[in-house]
Amino acid sequence: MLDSTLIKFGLITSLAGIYILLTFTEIQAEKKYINEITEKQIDKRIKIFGYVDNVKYTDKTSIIKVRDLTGRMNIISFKKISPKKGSLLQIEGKVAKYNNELEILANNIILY
Amino acid sequence: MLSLIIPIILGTITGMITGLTPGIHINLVNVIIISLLPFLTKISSPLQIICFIISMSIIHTFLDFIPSTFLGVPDTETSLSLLPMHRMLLDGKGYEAVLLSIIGSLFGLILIIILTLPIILTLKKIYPLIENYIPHILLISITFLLIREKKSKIISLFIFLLSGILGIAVLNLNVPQPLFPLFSGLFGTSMLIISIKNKVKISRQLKTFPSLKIITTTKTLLSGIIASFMTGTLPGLGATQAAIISSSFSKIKEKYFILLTGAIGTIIMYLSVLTLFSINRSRSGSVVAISKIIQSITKNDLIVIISITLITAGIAVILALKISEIFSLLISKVNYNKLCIAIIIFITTLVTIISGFQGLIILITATFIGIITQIKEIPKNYLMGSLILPILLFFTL
Repeated sequence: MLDSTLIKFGLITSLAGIYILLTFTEIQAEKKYINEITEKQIDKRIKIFGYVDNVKYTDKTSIIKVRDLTGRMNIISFKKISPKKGSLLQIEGKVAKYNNELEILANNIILY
Repeated sequence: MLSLIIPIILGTITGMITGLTPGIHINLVNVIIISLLPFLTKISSPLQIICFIISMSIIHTFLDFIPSTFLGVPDTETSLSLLPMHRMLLDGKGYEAVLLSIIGSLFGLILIIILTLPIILTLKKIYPLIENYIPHILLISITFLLIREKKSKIISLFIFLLSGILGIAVLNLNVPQPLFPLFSGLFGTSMLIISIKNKVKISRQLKTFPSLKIITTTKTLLSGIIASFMTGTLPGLGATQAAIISSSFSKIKEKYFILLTGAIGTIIMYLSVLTLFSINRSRSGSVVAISKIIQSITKNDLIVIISITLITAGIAVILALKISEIFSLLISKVNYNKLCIAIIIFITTLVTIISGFQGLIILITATFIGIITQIKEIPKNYLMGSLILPILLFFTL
């Protein structure tokens, strides 16, 4: 196989990657206030900032109630985390609905 | 898309540095990333950091064959234990050797990306069943490697145990980056010292191209995927073991063996991402870093990772071809002995800075074990005892 053929294959591979990236992915999570999150956002990636109200734990999850200026919402984390009450969090995750209530399944939580 | 361009460029540059500099592994960068995470997450998004790590890792796996082909060349007298790439370099076919590894890396990667879904399903179903049998699988793998060894079974076992004892000692010491001096000594400086001793001279390099059969190439790549799946999902086993297991499925020619080793390094890197996605286990330094950044990999993250992998694989092909062209032009012109001495001094300095005085002792000890392995013409995969033995003890004691 010639190197020119290999370069062509390389370019096709890169172009395929760019196409998949532009077509099938959401690169940046949209920043939202809690009251802006509606059922339309279910399964979408969003980012919110909020203060911790309280934290509860189940066997496999940490359920963090956060609030911002506009409302309150449950954040579900599949890792045990224990932020202090009143601390500021940046949460990125997917919107989901559980027991008729909207919540965020956290993919990433940053403690400020 | 625009927000990911800078991480891809930075990852490409870093991957070039780690891939082309002997002794510098991407895990060193991954450790730096993890220690800087509180700062990095404030100036960039988690996805941007992941993009950087993936770009760096993919570029690294494509380029790391260049220094091992052109810089770590033992003499023809020890040819039994030489990797075929080194033999091709001594024949003046270093460029073709790198070309074969690039073909393996690119098409192996494309093939495993196509097989992503069945692999995820298999991992989810099979891993919970084999998790408790990991030490047994490791033992069977080692026995398999020893049985396959045609000569010096006892010396091979001795080398395996010796490097294993060193591995246990090193991993129990409080040394920063303990694996860096360990692997630099076992695989890097030992080979360079033998090259100096044997006064290796590199002949003029020719630009030759391989002729490959599509069916044999596909079969080789598929066997590489199966072997990578067997070793990549288990701790302690890696690319070398996968290559040995894979090549034992059927007798393969030298050029297909190079293709296979090229493919396996890249396949294992991608497979470790799938392992994190499907069973939440980290099997490579890069994936450990990713797991510290995000709590879990979502489907969206996985598709972004696949895209970045494809984009950087294309960039890596062009870079690897151009850089190996430059290397093949320069390698016969430079004084190879002086180059080896310079690399040894560089690695020693780096080890002293990163791992301190204890690191230097590890480097010297590991170098001696590496030298014994070469003198006795034992394949270098037995040196992986330095990782396998500590893991076996961890699971069994």
